[in-house]
Amino acid sequence: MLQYLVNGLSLGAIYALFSLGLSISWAGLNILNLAHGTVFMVGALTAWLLSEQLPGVPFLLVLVIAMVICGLIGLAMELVVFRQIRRRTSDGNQQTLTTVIATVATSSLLIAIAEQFTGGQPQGLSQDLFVVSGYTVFGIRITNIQIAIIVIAAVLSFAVAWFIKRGRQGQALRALSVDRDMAKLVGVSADRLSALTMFGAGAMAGLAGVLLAVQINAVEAHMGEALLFKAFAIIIIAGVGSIGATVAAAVALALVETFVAAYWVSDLRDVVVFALIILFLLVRPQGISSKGWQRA
Amino acid sequence: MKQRSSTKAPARRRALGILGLGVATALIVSGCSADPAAPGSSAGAGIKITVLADITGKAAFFGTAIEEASKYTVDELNAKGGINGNQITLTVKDTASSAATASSLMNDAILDNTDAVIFGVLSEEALAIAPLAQDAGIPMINVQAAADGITETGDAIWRITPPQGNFYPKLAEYVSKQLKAKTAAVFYVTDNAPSVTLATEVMPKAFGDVGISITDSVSSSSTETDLTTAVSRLLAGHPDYIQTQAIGAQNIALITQLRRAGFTGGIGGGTSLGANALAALSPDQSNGIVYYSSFVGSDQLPYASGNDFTKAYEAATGKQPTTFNAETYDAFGLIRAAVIASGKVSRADIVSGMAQVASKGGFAGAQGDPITFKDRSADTPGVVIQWEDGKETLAPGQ
Repeated sequence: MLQYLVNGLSLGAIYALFSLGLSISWAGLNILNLAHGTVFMVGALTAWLLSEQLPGVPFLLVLVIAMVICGLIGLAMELVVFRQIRRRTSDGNQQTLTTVIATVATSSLLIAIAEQFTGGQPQGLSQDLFVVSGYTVFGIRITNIQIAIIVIAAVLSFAVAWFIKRGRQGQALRALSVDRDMAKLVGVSADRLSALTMFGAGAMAGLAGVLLAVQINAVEAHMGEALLFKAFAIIIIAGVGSIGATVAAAVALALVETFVAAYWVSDLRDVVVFALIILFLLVRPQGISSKGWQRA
Repeated sequence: MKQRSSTKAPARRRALGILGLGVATALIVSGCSADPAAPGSSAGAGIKITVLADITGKAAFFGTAIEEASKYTVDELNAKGGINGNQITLTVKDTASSAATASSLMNDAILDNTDAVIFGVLSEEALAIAPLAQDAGIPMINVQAAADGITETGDAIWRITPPQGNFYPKLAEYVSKQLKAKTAAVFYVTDNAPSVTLATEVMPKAFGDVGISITDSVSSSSTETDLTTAVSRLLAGHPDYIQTQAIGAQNIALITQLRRAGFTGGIGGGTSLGANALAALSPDQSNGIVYYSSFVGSDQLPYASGNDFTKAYEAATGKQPTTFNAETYDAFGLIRAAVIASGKVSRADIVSGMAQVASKGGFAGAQGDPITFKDRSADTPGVVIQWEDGKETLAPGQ
C-alpha cells in the first residue's frame, strides 16, 4: 500500500512538472500547445544526445542545456508562429484554431527530426549520466531519481505559484490573460511577456523530459504524446492556470491511476482517467479552482 | 482585354475537354493493362517487386531492417542472374506506419504492374491492404503482421513469419531446464492483439506444460511511460522469471526498472524484444536476457541455409542479420521458389507457384530448411536467443 503511494507521488510529480508549462501558456496566452509533449521529448532527446556525444558530461549541465534548448523552441514557436498568427488574425476563435493547427504541425516536424536522430527506435540513456540508486525504508523502495523528481516538482510548483501571484511579470501575465489590449494600454509589454512565458513553459517541459528519461532509461520520438493527454485531464480537473489545483490534480490523478493498476485491472487506468474528465466536464467544467486568473 | 479572354474561353474549355477525355482514356487503358495476369508474363522479361515497409513512424526500426535486407537480397539474386533469368526491379516505399498511406501505396503498386508485393510490419496496415492485393490478384507476402484475418483474406496473401505461438514451447522448455525457473510473471500491452493472446493464452499453457506456475499477469497500454507500479506488482509474487510482451521503449523501461529494483532472475520476451530494445541497455542489465524468434544471426544454426545467409549477409553489410532481415530474405526466397515452380513471373503464376511450393514441402531459407507452410503462413519451430555483450547469440543447450 505505502509502496504504491510512493509510486503515485513520483508519477504525480512528473505529471505536475509536465502540466505546469502547458497550463500557464494556455491560461496566460490562450495557446493550447499540442506540441508541448514534443518539446518534452526534445528535453529527453537532448539528454540522450549529450550523454552519447560527451561521455562524462555532468548531469546538471545536461539539465540546464536541455531546459535552454526546450525554452528556445518555445520562444521560437512564439516568435515565428504564434505572434504572426495574432498579428494576421483578429478573430479570437480563428486565432485559437489556427494556433492549435500550428502546434500540431510543429509537433510533427519535431518528431520527424527526432526520428532522424534516433533511427526510429527507442534509445537508452547512458548509465553514467545519472547513477540511479535505490533505498529501502520500512519496506518501501524509492530511488534517488524519484526523490529528485518529487523535490524538484514541489520547489518549482511553489516558485511558479509565487511568480504568478506575487511576481511583477506574473501579475502582468494575469492581466494579459484577462484583456490583452487593456493590458497593453496600461504598459504591459505583451510581446515580451508572451516570449518569456513560452520560454518558461518550454524549459519546464524540457526539465520534465530529462527527469522522466532518466527514470525510465528510454528516449523515443513519441514519448510525450501519452503525457499530453494526461496533462489535459489534469488541467480540466484543476481549472486552466491554477497552479495549486494543477499540482493537486496531478498527484490525485497519478494516485488514482496507481491504485487502479495495483489493485484492479491495470490497463483500466486510462479508462478511469478519461471517465474523470467527462465527469468534471459535466459537473464542474471550470475545474476545482473556480476563481483562477484564467479566461476559460 | 476582357473581350479577348471571353472569345478564348470556349476554345480553352474545348481544349480542356479534349485533354480530360485523353486523360480518362489513358486511365482506362492503364486500368486495363493492370490485369492480374498481364504484367511480367513472359519469361526473361524481368520481375517487378514492390516492398511496402514502415520505414518511418512507430514501427520504423522494423521497416528499416526490411528495406536493408530487400536491397541486399535483390543485389544478391540479380548478381546470380535474377530469378529464372528475370532480373528483379525493386521498388521500396515507406508506408510511414499508416494504414491509409499503405493503402494508397498498394493501389500504386497494383496500377504500376508490380508482379509481387512484400509488406512489413504492422497488422493494422496489412488488414487494410490485403483485400486490395487479393482483389487485384497480386501476390502479397507479409513480414510479421501477426493478426488474425490477414492470410485468411485469400490465396494471394501469404506470411513469411511463423506464428509466435510456435516458439513458446521451446522457450518454456528452455526457461525450465536452463534457467531452472519454477515461477514466472508476465507483462503485456493490451493494445496489441497478438501480445494479449500470447500473454493470456499461449504462455500460461506452454509454461504450465513444463511445470512453471504464473504468479501474476500485469498489463498496460503501450503508450504508458511510468511502469513503477507494474514493476512493484510483478515483483510482489517473487517470480524466478519475468516475461515481457511489451513493445519498443516500454521494454527498455521495464527491464531497467526490474534490474534497478534488484531483480536478478531471468527475463525474457518475444521477437520484438531483440536488438530493438536490448541494444539500448547496458550489458549488466541486458546480458543473459532470452527471447524467442524464428532466426538468429549465427553460424551455429542446425541447418546450412541459415548459416550461409548469416555469413553472406555479414560479409556484404558488415552487420549481424536480424530476424527481420532474415524474414525479408525469405520473402524473396518464397517468390523465387514460386517462380521456379510455376516457370513464369506473372501475378497469377506466382500465386499458383507459392501454393505448389507449400504443397511440395516448402523451401530452404534463412529461417529453416525447409520452411514449410500451414494455411499460407510459414511454420518453423524457431530458436531461443540469448543477448550477450550487445549481440544476439544462439542460447546454449536448446
